[in-house]
Amino acid sequence: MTAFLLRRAVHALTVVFVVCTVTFLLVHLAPGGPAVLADPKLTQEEQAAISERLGLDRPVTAQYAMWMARVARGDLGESFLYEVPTRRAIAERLPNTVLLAGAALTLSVLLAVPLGLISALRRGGVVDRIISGIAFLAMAVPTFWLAILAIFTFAVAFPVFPAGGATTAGAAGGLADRLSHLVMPAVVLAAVTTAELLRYMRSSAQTALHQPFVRVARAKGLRTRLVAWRHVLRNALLPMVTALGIQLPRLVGGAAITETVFAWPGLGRLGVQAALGRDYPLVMAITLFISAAVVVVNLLIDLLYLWIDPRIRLEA
Amino acid sequence: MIATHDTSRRRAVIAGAVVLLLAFVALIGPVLYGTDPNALDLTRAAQPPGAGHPLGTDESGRDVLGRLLAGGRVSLAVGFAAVACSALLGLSLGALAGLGGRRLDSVVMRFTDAVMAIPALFLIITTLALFGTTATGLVVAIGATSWMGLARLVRAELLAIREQDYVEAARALGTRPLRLLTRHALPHLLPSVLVSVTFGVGTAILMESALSFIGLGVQPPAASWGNMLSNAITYLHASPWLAIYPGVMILLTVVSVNVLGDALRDAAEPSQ
Repeated sequence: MTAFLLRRAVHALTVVFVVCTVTFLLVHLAPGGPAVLADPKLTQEEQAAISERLGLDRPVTAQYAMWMARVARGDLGESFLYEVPTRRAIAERLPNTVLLAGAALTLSVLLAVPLGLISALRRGGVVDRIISGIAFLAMAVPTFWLAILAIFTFAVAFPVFPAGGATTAGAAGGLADRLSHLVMPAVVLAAVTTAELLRYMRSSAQTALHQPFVRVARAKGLRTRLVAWRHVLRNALLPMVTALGIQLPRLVGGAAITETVFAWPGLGRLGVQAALGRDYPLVMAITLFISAAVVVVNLLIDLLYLWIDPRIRLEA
Repeated sequence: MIATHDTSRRRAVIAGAVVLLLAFVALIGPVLYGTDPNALDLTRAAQPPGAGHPLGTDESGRDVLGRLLAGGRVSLAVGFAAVACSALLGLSLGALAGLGGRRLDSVVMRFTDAVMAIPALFLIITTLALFGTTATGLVVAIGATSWMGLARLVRAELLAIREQDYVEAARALGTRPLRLLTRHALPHLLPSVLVSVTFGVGTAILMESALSFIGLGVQPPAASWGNMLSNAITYLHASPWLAIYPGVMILLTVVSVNVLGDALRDAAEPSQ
């Protein structure tokens, strides 16, 4: 078991290391090199001075070591646009993104698990066709278009929900206000994730349905519904945990688009604005931070497996 | 779904026909229609669909149908080129991992895991922010962040094929690795690669439209379905039709490509 954990931890560290290296290489391959990281309006002399101070005149390997040391200390530089350490800009926006992505993920799981199971049980039937058809459409629809349609329908034509933002400007910002701002972005963001998770759930429930223990349970004379909810569901949920880990980077990417359309003050929108404003340190800091977060969550999912699946515990 | 061979084949044919039609329209539509998609006419701005402008005009009086056709050409071209790029990367890295021995395999696969852990959108916006937004940059950026699934697939299949008797026989006869790959392994890989690539087209078109939508993709005044939608959101109240057409086109394209992918998969894996 310790060996299993150790292997996973080394794996996670390797991934973070590669992410840092890729980011470093991107900056060095970019036209103008890392000197663009300074203000582009500077004169040649000023740029040379900055290059010297940042160690840009040293060999690439030395710079690489410096960059890694800085990243390891959590120092990701200062944002051009906001003139604050990137760490602080990220910390300010993070809670909003966690709230939005968390709400969307919860909604997705609550919808995908039962619908996927029903779809698998009624494979080929009308219900399955309807559910699978909608999931198919949801995977092909551009998130931002869904967001625009939602705004047009529920904020312009029938003003039920606010069109954007996380709270009403100037208002006290009570719970009801926050919730009503959360509904549309969360539902839109959940659409694709729900569809993807539903397809996983459907196929893993189908696999579980054909296991010998399900046949035994049926042969024992247990009612179909009991077999479905007790024997099939539990075993079909296991692969879903992995599916969640795979979906996470996509969910965060989708969140950036959703946040942009709904003017939701989160990390994704900050990243998009930073990219549009050529705020390189902030874009890179956000990319590094999100990737590291995804790696950590996947590590936690591996730990979760140890807890929910005794077979892995025994093997490891 | 209980897809008999017949219905699955029919679906494939219909979806394939739609994809071909879309590609055909994107290719020659702008020539046949002949209205300049970038011509401004502020006296006839934001007109609903009607005479002279079958789908109406946008906020600057540009013809929407013309822009839709021109945008389709850009979106499809970027989508297909990006997939070609990602297929090349996925195939070569997968082959490297599958045939290159244990050490190379683990290096390539750890790299693959790392790229998979980075949200693609952020990797792309970092790249575009640093390198500038050009059509080539867009294609390379989308291609460079979407090869991982294919690489894993190719590697897994190669590892399985390597153990087959006919490959061992070929190796015993002194066939070189490269010839082994092209002559004996590739034909086996082709069906699953084709399926993965087909789904990739849909993903790439969605990614291109999302990037153009947030302003990091195809740059105005050139039209793309994504940046048309980005424009439309400002005029949602006055001219809602502007937000409908490009979205429907993206949806139609991605749905038909995905249906084609599904049908190809059914044909490639009859057991499913």
